[in-house]
Amino acid sequence: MIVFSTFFKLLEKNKWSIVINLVVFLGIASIAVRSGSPEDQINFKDIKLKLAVIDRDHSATSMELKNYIGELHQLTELEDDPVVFQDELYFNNVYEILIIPAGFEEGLLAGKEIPLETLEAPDAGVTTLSSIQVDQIMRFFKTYLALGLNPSEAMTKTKEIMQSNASVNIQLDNHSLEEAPNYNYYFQYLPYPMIAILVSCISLILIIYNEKDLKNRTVCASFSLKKRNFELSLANITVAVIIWIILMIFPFIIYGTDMLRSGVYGYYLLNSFSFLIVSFSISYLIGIFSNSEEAISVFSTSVSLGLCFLGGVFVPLSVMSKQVLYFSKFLPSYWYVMTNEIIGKNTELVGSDLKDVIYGILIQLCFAIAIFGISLVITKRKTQAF
Amino acid sequence: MIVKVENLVKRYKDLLALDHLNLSIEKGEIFGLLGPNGSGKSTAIGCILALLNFDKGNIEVFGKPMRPDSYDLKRKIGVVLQNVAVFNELTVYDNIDYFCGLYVKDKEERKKLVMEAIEFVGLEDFKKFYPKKLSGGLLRRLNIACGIAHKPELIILDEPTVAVDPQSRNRILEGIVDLNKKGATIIYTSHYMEEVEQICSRVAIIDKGKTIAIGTKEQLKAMIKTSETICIEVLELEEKHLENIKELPHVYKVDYDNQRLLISCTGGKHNLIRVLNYLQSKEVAFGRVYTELPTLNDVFLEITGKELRD
Repeated sequence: MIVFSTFFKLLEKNKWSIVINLVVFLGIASIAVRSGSPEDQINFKDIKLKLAVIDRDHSATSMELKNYIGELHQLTELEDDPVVFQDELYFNNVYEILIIPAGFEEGLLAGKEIPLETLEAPDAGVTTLSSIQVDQIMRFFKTYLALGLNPSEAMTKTKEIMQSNASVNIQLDNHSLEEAPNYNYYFQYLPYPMIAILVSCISLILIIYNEKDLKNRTVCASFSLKKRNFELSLANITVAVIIWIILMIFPFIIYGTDMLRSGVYGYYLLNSFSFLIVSFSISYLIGIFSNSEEAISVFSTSVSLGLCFLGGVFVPLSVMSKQVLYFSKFLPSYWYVMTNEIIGKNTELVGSDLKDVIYGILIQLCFAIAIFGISLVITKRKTQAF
Repeated sequence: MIVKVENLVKRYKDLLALDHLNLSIEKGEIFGLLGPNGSGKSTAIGCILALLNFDKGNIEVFGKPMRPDSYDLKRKIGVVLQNVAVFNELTVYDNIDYFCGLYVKDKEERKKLVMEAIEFVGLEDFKKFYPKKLSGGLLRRLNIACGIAHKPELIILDEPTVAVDPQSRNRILEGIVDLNKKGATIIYTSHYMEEVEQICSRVAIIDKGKTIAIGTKEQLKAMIKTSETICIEVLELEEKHLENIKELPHVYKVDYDNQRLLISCTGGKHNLIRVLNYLQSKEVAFGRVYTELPTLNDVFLEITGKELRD
């Protein structure tokens, strides 16, 4: 078993790369526990903008309006001077200046259209919010005046209607608002370290073994290539399984033993193991396709990040566009994440959910078989060229 | 017969790398394969080792056809290829142990063989060194140790001294002779004729994939016209003297360049005395005088019309 044992000697030289990947992943997993899921972060809150209101009417109506805007936003008192306006806007001391023109109240009472003059800071996109708000206030206010209320009453009514909140539910998908356990996020991020570590362990060592001169020397020896490949494959599989076991131990350290009682722990293992086979096939392909450490670095970074971003590992599937999702279905990571989501939202898998999980796992295995097939074709072509 | 190559033809697309090459190597020989870069030496070795497919011909090693799966034959062969082929991630000891392990299963036996190989190439002080820490010469020695640790009967060395300092080169050449004395048959390829002359008992000169001459060094040198070259440092020499010297017995070629008179003689006795007598009689002043016996380069030059290192 000289090839097998030497594999582990070579692996030892790459130990720091593996440790770094594990540490980075553990860091990400810990952060994920603290901050919750990416979906939890989808919420809204009011913001207050720095505005200025210049009252040139000095009427009861204009004062009511100014006071109300002051309640909604952070008002800054400015001198009524165009030069001052320009400076304050330029230095972003205020984002928008609203000017209530003289004759504002009189005009409104007469049923005339008296628009407010607005000055905005350059590139201040946030002022859209205040502009919409002021526009709404003015529409309600004019409506109440037209109904015969005096300015003070009209403003009170306007405030009431502006403060009423509508209940809005954002339905992202059927399951997105259901709560998944914390360790589900660990399993969701798992594809990234799995690919990164397996590439460090398998691809980097495969290119050493497949280096032309070293391979020639092995071919010259009385050691059959079949035996060499068998020992090499055995070593690769052993390493992959060890890494999987390590990655399966970590969630116990981070989250405790809750998941053992979840009722679906076995499915987490099954899903992660099927993605291990996918990662193994990818690492193998990268290993025989590349001819230098630099090339492996480029391939592994682009493949792992590409699979993770487009497959829904880093970005939830629920926020992806239909076009991206359509493309994602051609990636094994999509099926891993989708299966993981289903597992995470159940305490017992039965019926269609169970079918979907098995379907997801089988598709991942199909991807692995296809990638292995491509690797074998490349290996055969390389041998023929030799 | 240890190795027999008959009418070997190997093509790389349109390039004819080996053109009906014939070789026969006897047991106990140090057989030199001499030729300029690109002459087909490494391709021939690749075919003998079944590393490369060939288009036509026949190769037998130890009396059996050599195929990629001839593991019984490969067990008896040690290979030191042109490029250093070792694991940069393994120590000197682990490298030799790995390559020896491809032939020898038993750990204890292997340990003994590895230590012997280390001792043989003189790397005792570098056992735990990684290849990147070794000098070019030491790295070549490691390369050799990896190829010979399993004590093969036939050792094929393909340009093992390329880019090696003179001290390491001598050590390597002495080692090869030593291996031969211990019973190994050696095939040694090189484009350094001095090395081939120094250690090889029989030599095949190849050019453009063809064997152009084969035999012992003496046999090869006997094949050419030149048997002696006389070199004399002369400050000034008139054209008429050159003509007269050329008329002397056994002289067939005279050159005068850079105050150096070169006289090629075909054989016979007293050539040097005759030339010196002539110069003295014509009162031509001369300095250092020496003679050179023909080299394999002269053989190559005379047969192909070009230098080995052209």
